[in-house]
Amino acid sequence: MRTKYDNKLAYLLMSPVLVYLLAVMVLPFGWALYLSFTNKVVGMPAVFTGLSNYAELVRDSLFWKATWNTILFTAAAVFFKTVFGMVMGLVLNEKIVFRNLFRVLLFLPWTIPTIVSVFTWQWIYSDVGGVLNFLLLKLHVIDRPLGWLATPDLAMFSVILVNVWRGIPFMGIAILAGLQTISKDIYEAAMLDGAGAIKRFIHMTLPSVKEVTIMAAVMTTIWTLNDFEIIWLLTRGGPSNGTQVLSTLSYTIGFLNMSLGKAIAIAIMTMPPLILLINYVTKRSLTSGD
Amino acid sequence: MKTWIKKSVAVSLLTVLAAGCSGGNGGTAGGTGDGGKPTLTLWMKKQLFEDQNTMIAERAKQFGEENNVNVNVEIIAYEDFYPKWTAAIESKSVPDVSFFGYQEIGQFYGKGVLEDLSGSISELESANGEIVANTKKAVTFDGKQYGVPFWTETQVLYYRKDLLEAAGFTAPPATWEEFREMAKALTDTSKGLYGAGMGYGKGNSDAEFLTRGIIWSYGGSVDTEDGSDVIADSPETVQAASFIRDIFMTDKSVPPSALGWDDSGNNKAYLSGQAAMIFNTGSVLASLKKDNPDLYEKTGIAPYPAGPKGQFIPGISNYLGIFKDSKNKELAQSLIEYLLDDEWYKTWIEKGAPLTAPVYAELSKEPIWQDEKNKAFVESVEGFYFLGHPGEYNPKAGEAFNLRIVNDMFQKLLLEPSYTPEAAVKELDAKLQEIYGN
Repeated sequence: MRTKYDNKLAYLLMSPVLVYLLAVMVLPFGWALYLSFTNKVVGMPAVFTGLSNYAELVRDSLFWKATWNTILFTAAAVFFKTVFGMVMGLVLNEKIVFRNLFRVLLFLPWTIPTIVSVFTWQWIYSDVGGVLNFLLLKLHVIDRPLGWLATPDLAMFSVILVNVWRGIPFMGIAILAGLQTISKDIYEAAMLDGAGAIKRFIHMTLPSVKEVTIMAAVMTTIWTLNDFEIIWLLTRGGPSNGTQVLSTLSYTIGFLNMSLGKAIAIAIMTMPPLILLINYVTKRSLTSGD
Repeated sequence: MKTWIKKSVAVSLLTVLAAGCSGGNGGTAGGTGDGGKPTLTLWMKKQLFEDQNTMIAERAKQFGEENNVNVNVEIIAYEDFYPKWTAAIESKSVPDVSFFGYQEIGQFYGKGVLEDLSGSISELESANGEIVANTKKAVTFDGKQYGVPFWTETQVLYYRKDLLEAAGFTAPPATWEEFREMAKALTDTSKGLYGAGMGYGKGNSDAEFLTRGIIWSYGGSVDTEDGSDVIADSPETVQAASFIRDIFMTDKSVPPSALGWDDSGNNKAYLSGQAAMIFNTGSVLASLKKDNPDLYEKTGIAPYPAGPKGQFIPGISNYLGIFKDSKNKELAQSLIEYLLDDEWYKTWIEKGAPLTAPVYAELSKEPIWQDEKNKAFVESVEGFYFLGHPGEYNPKAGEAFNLRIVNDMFQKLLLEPSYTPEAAVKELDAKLQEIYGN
């Protein structure tokens, strides 16, 4: 039976966490929310302006362009990371030669610091000595080097490619973990019943890793929505705002234009989808835990 | 709330605060350090030449020993300064002395966070000789200077003497029209060679200066005459925009990747032999001399070409400044004066030649600046034009520069064939009006 003393002890033990959450999350978030309702500029006092930042953003075509780019970037990157992550998981689950070596090599992109991989990709995309243009020229796919970061569409493709390259290992690990829980006996039984590889994949593998794939995809969606470094280091949101996403726009307005109120308003506006996704992950993982 | 809950929360909060307060002296602000000695913090821009970075750190250390203070030097890459300044100003945890470009001095002066340093400039001039007037002018607001000139950089034309000669040109272009003609003649896409290496990647600061230089030389502007009425939308600005567009879209004299280049893009294009002519500061020449003597010999240096209204060279000057929230203002001023002592300064500036040029008029007469390739870097300083032209430099002009709206406009103009120079300049004008609050 729980006593009054137990309750007090529970609250006492919990209080450091509550204070921590209050200090590092609730108060800064509350302060940020307040600033988004002000005309706060670096070095100047904040003056309450109500919803003016939000109204300005809603009227600003650049904000909508950044919103669309964020959706496009996230959707495309998550889709390809999931597809290639599945392929990676399936391949690494097979008894291939040098399997452990391949596992290490394929997980490398995830472990390399972003700045290093971005600089490497800058070289890959370069039109002078860049390996991508070199290969495409040799294969006669193109007749002169392409500016991979010089037109909005190609630049968007390029930043998505880097994000996908970096993100595949996470999806691969997650799906591989799911695949390793499937009993080999089920596959053997299915093979005896005459089920082909495609049928086995659709009716046995996919349902078995569905949960883990969805969870990993939602997690990676949250990270991709917040991705800043790859785009900032490769294109700074250009050319012609072709890769401008909400995180880079918020940074530009906050740190270069020094309009903190407006920059925070952008960050606040990106929160509802993130909260929904986090809520989904939390609910699903807790349910699985039960 | 029950008393015991309040007590628990209070105890925990105090524990957290105590833990936070006891954690070393990781702040950037001044104040007192070990043994009651004051601590000065200097934020210095990372220079291309490591010798210059080392010299700054050693000089600051020497200042600390002579004045019984701790000097904490942070060498910071230029692109990392804005987030650091922003956080420092907001938290009032500012460095005592910081590097600034003149455009930032204007922007921060507008926010009222910088200290008047007119006194330091007068003292430095009495002790070491005259500082080039133009560099002081760029940071003078209401008759007071808010930064101490530290060094200047000049964009010049780099051209391949061998390629120009092979194409039948005996001298570098004297006008923008000649530049266009030569760039077209030098372009040979089958060899991957382009006449002009003009980068317009987002955030590219070289392009912001170069474009202004071209627009001014055609009689246009991207600012005001009187500090309030924007005069960008003019036939002259349109003419300059058309000129740049033609080099890219009609002549195709620029590598297609140039719209994605950052500030290092044109350096790489020239060093790799992709571009025959580029505009850059002395960084390229220094790299050539060190790493590619053959190309160094084939390289010619010339000042900016002239337009119909003459030659306009955008000034790039760099400063040391003090934030109003600095806790050691007097020591900070002494440190600045110590760093600008002409004897030490002469060695420091020459270590970075020709990228860093001196602010003392007398030092520009030193032999190193009489070298054929270095001359243009100091001779241009007297004729610098600054942001805000034809009006005086002002904080709004600095803001327009820092937002890179000119660059953004050109990216769109050079990507969309249906977007005309007239429409681009109109849109640019409208954005500038917003900045100037019209």
